[in-house]
Amino acid sequence: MSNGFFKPANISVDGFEEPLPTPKADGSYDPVLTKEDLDVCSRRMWLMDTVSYSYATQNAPCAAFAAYYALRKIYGGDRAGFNKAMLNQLDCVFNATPPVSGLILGAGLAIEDAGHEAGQQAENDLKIGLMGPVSGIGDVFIWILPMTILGSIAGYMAMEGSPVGILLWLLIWAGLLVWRLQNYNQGYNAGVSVITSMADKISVLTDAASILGVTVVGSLIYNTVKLHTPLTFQYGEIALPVQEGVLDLIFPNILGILVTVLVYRLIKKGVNLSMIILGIIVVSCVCAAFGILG
Amino acid sequence: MEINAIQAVLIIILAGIRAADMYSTQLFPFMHALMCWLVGIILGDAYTGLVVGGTIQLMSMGAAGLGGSSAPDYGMAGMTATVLAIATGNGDISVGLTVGVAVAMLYVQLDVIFKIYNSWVFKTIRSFCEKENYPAMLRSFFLSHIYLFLQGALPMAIVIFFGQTAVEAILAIMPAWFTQGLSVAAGILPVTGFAMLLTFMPLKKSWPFAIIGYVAAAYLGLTVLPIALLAGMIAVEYFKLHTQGLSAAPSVAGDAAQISGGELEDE
Repeated sequence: MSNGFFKPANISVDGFEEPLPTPKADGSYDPVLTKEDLDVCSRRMWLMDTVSYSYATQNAPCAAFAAYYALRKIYGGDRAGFNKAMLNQLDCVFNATPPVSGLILGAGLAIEDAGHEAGQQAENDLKIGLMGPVSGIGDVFIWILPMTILGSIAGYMAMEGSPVGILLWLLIWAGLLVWRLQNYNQGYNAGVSVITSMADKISVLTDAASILGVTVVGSLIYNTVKLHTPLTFQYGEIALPVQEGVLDLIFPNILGILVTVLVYRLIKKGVNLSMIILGIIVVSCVCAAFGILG
Repeated sequence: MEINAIQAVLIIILAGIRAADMYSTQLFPFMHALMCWLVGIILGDAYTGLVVGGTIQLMSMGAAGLGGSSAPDYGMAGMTATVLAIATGNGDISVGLTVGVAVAMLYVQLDVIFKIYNSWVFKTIRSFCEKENYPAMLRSFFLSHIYLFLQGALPMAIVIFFGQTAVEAILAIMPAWFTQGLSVAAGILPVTGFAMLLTFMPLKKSWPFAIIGYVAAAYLGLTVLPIALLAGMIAVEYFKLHTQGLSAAPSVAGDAAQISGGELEDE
C-alpha cells in the first residue's frame, strides 16, 4: 500500500507517539478528521468492499479496515482507546450496499470523532439503523437500475456483435467509482438527519427511474426471448404455419411473453433459479424432439 | 482451435481477477459481456465472445439483487461458455452455453466455502487486534482477496485443460434432438434474467411501461437505444411532475410524495 492513497501521510501504522487527546469541559473532543483522512477511508472501503463478508459480523471487518487510520488519528496516543475502538468496529454487525456504505460509516465516524468512546454506542446504533434504508436505495441505484438499463443495452448490443454498450457501461460505472472514492466526506458532513430525510425525496426518483427500467425490459423481452414453433395445421391441401399464420398475428412473439410471465410467477413463488434453468433445458429438449419448438 | 500457453495463462489470470474484483474493488462487477469479450479477444475471436457474453448478460439480469449462492455464477458461466464455444469451434454457441451454466451452478457452491473461510479470516483478524499486532491484522484482510483469486482461477484452469475434450466427447455421443433442444433452450434462457429483474421492479405501479416498451419494439421496430431515450424522457417528466409539489411546499414534502404514490397505486 502506497503512502497517501490508502494511508494518510502524517500518521504511522501503530506508533502511538502522538499526544493523548484531551476532552473539553463537556466531555466531548475537538474533531480532528480532515477531508484527506476521509478520502483515505473511502479508498480503503473500495479496496475491501464486501470481501471480508462472513456469517460472524457480516461486513464489519471491511468497515474496520476502512476506518483504521481515521481511528488512529482520532485516538492519537491513546493506545487502549484505539484498541477498544477497533474491536468495536470489528464486532458491530454491518452490511450495506458497499458503494454507498461510506455515507453511513462517514456519519458514524463524525460521531466518534466528537465523542470518542462515549460516542461508540450512538455510532453503532446509527450504523445498524441506517444500513437497511440506505441499502434499499443503494441496491436500486447501484445494482438494479444500472443492470437493467446499461446491462441490457450492453448485452443486447453484444449479441448483435457490438461492444459499444459495454464501453458505455464501463464509462458510466467509472463515474460512480470517482464518487465513491470520496463518499465518507458526504456522510461525515451531512450528519444523521440529512441521510435519514434523503430517503423521502429519493423515492420519487426511484419511481421515475423504474419507468425507464420497465420500458427497456418490455422491449427486450420481445427482442431477445426467442421461441419459434415449426408446427403446421394441415387442412387437406392448405397448410397453415402456426407461428406465422396464427401466433404472430395475435401478438408478435407471444410465446416469449407467455414464458416470461410463467418464469416470473415461478420466481415470485420462490422456485429455485437453478431448477428453473434446468427445467427450461429439459422442456426445450423434449419439445425439440417432438417438433413442437425449433 | 488449440489454446496456447500464453492464452491459457491470460484467461486464468482474468478469471482470478474477475472473482476477486466481484467482491472487492468492483471495477467491473456483473459485466459478464465485458469478460466474455475479453476472453474472445485473447482467443482471437472477439465476435463469438460478444455473442456469448450478450446472451449471458441478459440471462443474469436481476442476479445482482439476489447475491450469495441462489443464482449460478454467471461470470464463470460466460467465460467457460466463451472458451468452449471458441475452442470447439463449430459456430454453435448453445452447447458451450449449457456446459457453462452447468459449471457455474457447481461453481457458485464455492461461495459457501468462501464465507466459512472468511469466518476463519475474521477470527485471525480479531485475535491480531486483541494482541495489538496491527501490521499483521491489516495484512490478514488480504487473505480473502487471495482466496477469491484462486477460487476464480483454479476452476478456469480445469475448464481450459479438460473442457474441450469433455465437450467434444459429449458432442460425439449426443443425439440430434439434444443439440436441437439446447439451441432452443439458448433462445429461451435470457427469460430468466428478465423475470428475475421484474420481481425487483414496482410492477404494480409501472406495468403499463412494459407494454409501451413492447409496442415500441414489436410494432414500431425501434432498437433498444432509442427506446431507452424515450423512456428516459418520460421518467424526467414524471420526476418533474411529482417533485413540483415538493419544492413549492417543503414542509409537507413527505406527505406529497406519499399521496402521489398512493394515487398511482390505486390506478
